[in-house]
Amino acid sequence: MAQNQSASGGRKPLLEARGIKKVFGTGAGEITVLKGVDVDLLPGELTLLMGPSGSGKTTLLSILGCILSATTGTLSIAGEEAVGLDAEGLADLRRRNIGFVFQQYNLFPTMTAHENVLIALDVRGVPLPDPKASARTALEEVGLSHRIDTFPKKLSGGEKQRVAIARSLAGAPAVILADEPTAALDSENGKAVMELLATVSKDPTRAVLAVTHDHRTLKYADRIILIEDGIISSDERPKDNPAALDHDPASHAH
Amino acid sequence: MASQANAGAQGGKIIKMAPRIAYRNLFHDRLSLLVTLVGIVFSVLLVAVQCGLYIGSEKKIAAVLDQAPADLWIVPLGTKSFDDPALLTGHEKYVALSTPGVSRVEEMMVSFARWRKPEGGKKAFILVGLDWKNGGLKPWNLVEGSIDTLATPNTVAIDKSYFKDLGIEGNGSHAEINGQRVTVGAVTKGIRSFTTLPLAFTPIDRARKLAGASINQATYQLVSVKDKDQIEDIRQALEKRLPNTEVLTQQEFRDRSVNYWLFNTGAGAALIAGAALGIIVGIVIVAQTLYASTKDHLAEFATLRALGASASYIHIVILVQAILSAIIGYALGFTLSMGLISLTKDTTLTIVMTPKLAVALFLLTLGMCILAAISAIFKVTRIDPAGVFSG
Repeated sequence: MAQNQSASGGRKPLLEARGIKKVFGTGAGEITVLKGVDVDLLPGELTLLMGPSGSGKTTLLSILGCILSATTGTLSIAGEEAVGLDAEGLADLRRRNIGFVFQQYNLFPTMTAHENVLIALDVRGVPLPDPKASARTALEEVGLSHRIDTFPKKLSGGEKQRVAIARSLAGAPAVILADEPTAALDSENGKAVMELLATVSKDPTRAVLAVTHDHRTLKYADRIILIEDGIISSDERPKDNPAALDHDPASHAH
Repeated sequence: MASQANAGAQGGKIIKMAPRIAYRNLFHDRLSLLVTLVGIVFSVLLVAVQCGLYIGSEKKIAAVLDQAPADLWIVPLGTKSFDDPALLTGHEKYVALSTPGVSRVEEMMVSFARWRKPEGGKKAFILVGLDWKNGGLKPWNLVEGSIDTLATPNTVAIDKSYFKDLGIEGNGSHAEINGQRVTVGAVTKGIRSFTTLPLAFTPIDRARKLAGASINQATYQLVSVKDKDQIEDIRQALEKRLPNTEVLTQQEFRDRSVNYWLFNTGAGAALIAGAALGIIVGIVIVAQTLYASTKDHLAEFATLRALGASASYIHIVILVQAILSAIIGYALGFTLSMGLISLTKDTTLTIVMTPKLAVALFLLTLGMCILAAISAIFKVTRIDPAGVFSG
């Protein structure tokens, strides 16, 4: 973490997790998935979280996304503490501060691209002068101005993921968490989606964390965290240490 | 990308999407919607018919009572219902008229009688003698003939719907009542008794003659009072002066008649049971289809939850689905019910739809669908939003 603190350049983390431990089950069936993880997400950065299957990255993503509660540890998002909140409290925190991008897009199949974004605005309860125009703008910004009134089944995988990104941005959350955003996409669409996430992450009011197995995403990362057996085994910034890209942390991921 | 944050800070409006999600979920699976609607329509139709029959039965039981708005009815002791005829002794009218506060007394005669059909055969019926010569109730809903015609000796008014039962062809037909020749001098429409016995109306003097009653006898004395606030006092005075009778208010006599036929005979219980069955069937079908629909859309509800939707937001989606189903199902069910009522208008089946029943039916349908949504709400309440992640 010392490296991160020096790399923060005085920026205040938008997400701070300390000593995150997660235990599933009890007694003989007890499994410790996370063994004390510290993570900071800085504004203006795209962080990749990588690791082999069963390393705890999805559990960590769920905890950082306030979907799952940690057994021990502290978590604050945009300055708000998540520890001790009940399900509704966590939902409220997610609603105001976190945008999600899912591997399978999780779009509402009965809603157009435009309506999918409007749902996120409604859920977040963000009052806008013209919500429809704002949703349209969000879709234009992800390059889907021509697909606004299209239903998900008529969209390609890449287009669906771009709608999901536009949806995650609705309401301008401080943190975007992406779960394997390119896993269901071909290389061309995967590249477009990563470029988009990289662009999105440059907003100085936002931090982006993507869980990924895809080595093609490495070049977009400002920072790469590798998690193994429930602990962070490496946390590097390719710009500070270009060799980090050479050993390809994704190779640990399978 | 910062455009939204800026716009958000300016304040403004929010477009409510929960109803739209509900609407799309509902119409997305047409087959499921069809099953839901069939369940609701069946339920609405069944409840409407059963309740309509109940109200229709009430109206038939109280058909004459409702047309004769007296303040008090003097009835023979032990009278179970309006068409449970016995005779008063004959002096009650004068006792009532001499009671302080009584403004008017009207006589009414109700008697079982035997109708001999022109082509042979007999049929029991209820002969109702009315006192319209003295300003009392007269046959209503006349579609043929007139009250004046009924002044002609030995004429009676018969409802059109009883022609077949009584073996007559229409106005002017002849028959015999208790061995005396009569002519149908007027025809009414829609005046039916609750039982299978037809009603026939005639002036009270002629009814006495046909029924073999003495000149002063009547079945009921209908008392009007000068001051409505004095009804209870006058009732007590009449009860004291006429010990072998009962003195009932209009509502009491109506309730007694309705309760006798609908509850003592079990007919009303059968109608209520039918309506209850309709409600149960409706709830079960709607609950099943809503639950199935919710299960089909669980991934979307989990996504909503992951996006930060409150539990109440998701409950609203399910409730709106239930309410939309109720509105559409009610509209279809009510239309069908009205069609059925229209088809049975000229038959012996009296199904009545009143504005109150229509409103009650709508509220019942709404309540039924909301109740049915509870199982679906329980299902989504247990959703784990962590299911949205691939790992």
